[in-house]
Amino acid sequence: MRGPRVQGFEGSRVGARRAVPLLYQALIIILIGSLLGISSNLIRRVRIPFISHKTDFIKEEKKGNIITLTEAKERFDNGTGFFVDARSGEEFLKGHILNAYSLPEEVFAERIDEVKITFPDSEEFAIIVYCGGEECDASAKLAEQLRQSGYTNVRVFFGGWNEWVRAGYPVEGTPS
Amino acid sequence: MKRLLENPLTLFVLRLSLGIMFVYASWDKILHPAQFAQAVYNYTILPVPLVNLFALILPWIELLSGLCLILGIYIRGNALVITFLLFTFVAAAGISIYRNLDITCGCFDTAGGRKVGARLIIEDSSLLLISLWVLVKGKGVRDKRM
Repeated sequence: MRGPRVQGFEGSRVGARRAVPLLYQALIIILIGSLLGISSNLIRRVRIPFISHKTDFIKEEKKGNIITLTEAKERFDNGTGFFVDARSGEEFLKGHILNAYSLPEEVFAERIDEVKITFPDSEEFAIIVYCGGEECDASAKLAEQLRQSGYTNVRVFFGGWNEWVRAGYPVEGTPS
Repeated sequence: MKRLLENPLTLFVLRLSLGIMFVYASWDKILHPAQFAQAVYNYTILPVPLVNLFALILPWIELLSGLCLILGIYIRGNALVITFLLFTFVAAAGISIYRNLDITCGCFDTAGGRKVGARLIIEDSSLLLISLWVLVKGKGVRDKRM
């Protein structure tokens, strides 16, 4: 009688022993791999920053489409830029660049006619699209849609709302 | 069929091919981290600040687990890692197809390379089946008792 019971006990023990090392094995590999990845970037000649920014990934030929905070402010001051807010309507209501126009990226298709009446395509006046900041991509997506519908002078202000507020430039609403 | 699949030699060959595939896939990405980061960015799945870190670490994990599979170290643990990776690759490709993204996969070749499409999903899924099989049936140094 005892024999089988002991055997059963043995069996489950072995089972438990197998399950734990399996996860450990995987974690060890992931850990060593991560350390190798990080250290290789520290010692090699061509390094990349550990924290990436959106501007790292914009293709060279498209870099002319980016507008910096300084240039955005210049265009704001001399009135040669229309600011378009690509964030949600809710975020827009909480606060936005003074006189900006709310055009959430996902409703662009529905509002294309209204957009065409509001903004003429012109060399002198740039459409400056922005969203929350570096981490959002609504501005880039909206800019692409605007270009596809015929606008030629569309610029993306990647610093977005965050950078504008930090600089203390004119806004409507309360910056959070 | 089942006997053939459970044959130690079959398992060995499957394990070896999977390992070689992963070592091969990791190489170009390790050499060109910036290009691979670009490919990862294009999927627009990961938050932008994490893209570089992911692109730096992932190929080394691929290399390491591929090598271990070839050498027979921690076979099931590595099969688990690879299964998990392949599962995320298939998911990422699926999401990109659903979102209609026209991007290159960044799988083997960071410069240009193949497009994300149905073929990629089929290939990755086949690899996923192999790695699952190795995970279930493979024996590691630690598992000699079995």
